Amino acid sequence: MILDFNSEQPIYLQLAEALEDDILKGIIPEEGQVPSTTEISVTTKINPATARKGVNLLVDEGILYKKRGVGMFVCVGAKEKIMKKRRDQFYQSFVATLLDEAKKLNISRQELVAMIKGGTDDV
Amino acid sequence: MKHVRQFAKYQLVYFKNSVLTYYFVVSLVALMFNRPGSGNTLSGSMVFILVLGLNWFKTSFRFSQANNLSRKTFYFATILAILAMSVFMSVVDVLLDSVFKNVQVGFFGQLYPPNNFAEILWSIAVLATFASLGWMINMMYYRANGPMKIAISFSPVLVIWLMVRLNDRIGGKLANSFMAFAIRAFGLAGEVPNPYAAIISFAVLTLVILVINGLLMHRTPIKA
Amino acid sequence: MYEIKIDNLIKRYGQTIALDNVSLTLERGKIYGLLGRNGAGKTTLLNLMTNKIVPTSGEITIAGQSVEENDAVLNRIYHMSEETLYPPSLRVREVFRWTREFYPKFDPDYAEQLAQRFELNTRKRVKELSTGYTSICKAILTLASNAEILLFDEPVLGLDANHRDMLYKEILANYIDNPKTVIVSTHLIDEVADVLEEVIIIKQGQIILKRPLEELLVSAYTVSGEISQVEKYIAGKKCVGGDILGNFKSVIVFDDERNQSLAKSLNLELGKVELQKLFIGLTNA
Repeated sequence: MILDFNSEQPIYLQLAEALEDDILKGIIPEEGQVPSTTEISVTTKINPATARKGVNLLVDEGILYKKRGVGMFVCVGAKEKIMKKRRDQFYQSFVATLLDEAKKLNISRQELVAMIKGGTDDV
Repeated sequence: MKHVRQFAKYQLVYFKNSVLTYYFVVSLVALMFNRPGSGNTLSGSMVFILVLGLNWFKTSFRFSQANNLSRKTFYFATILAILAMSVFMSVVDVLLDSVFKNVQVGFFGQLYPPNNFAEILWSIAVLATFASLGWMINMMYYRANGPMKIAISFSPVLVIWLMVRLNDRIGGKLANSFMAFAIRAFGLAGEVPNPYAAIISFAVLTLVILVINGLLMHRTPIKA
Repeated sequence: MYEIKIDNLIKRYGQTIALDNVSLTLERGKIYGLLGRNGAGKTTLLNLMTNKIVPTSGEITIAGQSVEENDAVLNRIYHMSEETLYPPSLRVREVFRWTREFYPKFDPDYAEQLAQRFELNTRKRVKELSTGYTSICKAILTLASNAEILLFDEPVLGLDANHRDMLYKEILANYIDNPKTVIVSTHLIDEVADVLEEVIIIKQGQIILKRPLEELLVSAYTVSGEISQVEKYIAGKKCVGGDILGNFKSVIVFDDERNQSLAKSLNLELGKVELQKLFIGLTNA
């Protein structure tokens, strides 16, 4: 989990996203245990209240659940939920910025499409 | 007050080494130069405890502040430590005297008929006075700023000079009444010299000095 | 519960006013950052809170009781003071031993552990410690004291990067393990920023700000771009600070709402503000 303290986003959101990334990549499997807020707080040197906020956000969204006395675990179907959420946000998060930057650099639609085609060939 | 006792203990432990070294040296000297009437241990102890009093305040006070103790606690702890130290040294002095068979013509022996009990009390009172005196001088310097420190240094000389002049002016009456008072205070007025008067005098003197120290402690700050 | 309440505190030294009518309530159980420039009054405030100096007027209470000459209340606080108040000739382990006498909850095993972790030689005398290790020694005492209120005055003074990292982590771990009120007073803001829950900024003896860190960071943002365009954007807005490089200007704007459309039309970039930059902007004369 990498937190970029200089980024735009509030720390707790970054934390939530970093955890989501770990789940998407399969680093933390569904029904697997997530590091405790204590561990997160101490390792990344962020205030525990902030760490808790990030984790609770994911609990509210049904991505994590709490097992009393044991810790936080990933819900079944979390991966799906995250993917759907991210897809819905994809345009705003990535495409809009892409189009903006392209406009700044006077890259035409066709050039853009060509770039994307070229990129997807490697995927 | 638990803290008072504990801080007194700290102070005593802190000075344990100095005291032990002092007595070690004293014993050595006594062993090497043991002649009758070579002075008693009390005079040495008086000087030692005065010097202790003169040097100790700053470090001790700072440590009391590090542990967030109130100045009240520090004050009473110090009094307790002074008393304990005086008692301890008095007892050790008497022991040393008998061990080294100092033909004890020390201060007490010169003034009063032999009386071990009174002598120990006397010792304690005298040592307490000197310790408190050292503390007082120490504190006065601590609290004073630059120019005040110089004023304090000169004041004893100034006071004595003034008194001598005054005394001359009124034809020696000041010195006379002072001597008369001193004789009374030391219990030397009557037929048989009374050590208890002296003991009380020194005790009162100690008390007065301690009260002054209490006033000096009020709101005293930490200084670099 | 216990909160620390500071009421109309004034501290004057002759003609200089070190603290100018400071009033503050610090709720229990948070990590506060007391941030200010050199000479702003941070140390004075902490010293007043622990009865090391006495106010000119005003009062400080903890759980309703004044701290002045109050052993019971003062025993709930441990203060890592800027000045080293420990007897120079005492060995570190002796300081541990005596601290335990005055702070019964002091945990000597924990202190030993920390000493090992930081590689502090407890046989050394206080006067033999380097600046960094003096700080470490004081910090360990503070953490191991188990007092309910911990005050850290410039805790990382002289510490190398590794030890700074370790110390912040220890403070956090200690705080999580055993909830308490922590105040970290420092002018090294960058590293400590994320550890804090609430920020108090003191400037020339006055409190100019007390806010939860997160709230503070969303209440401002940076605007950057060509100078004249930036000027247009910030007209009428409250701003602090500003960097100018050639034709480029960057300013911090105090506003909850970002005017994205205006920024776009003026070809400006809006960005997140960092605590340190915000602090500099707020505390420059």
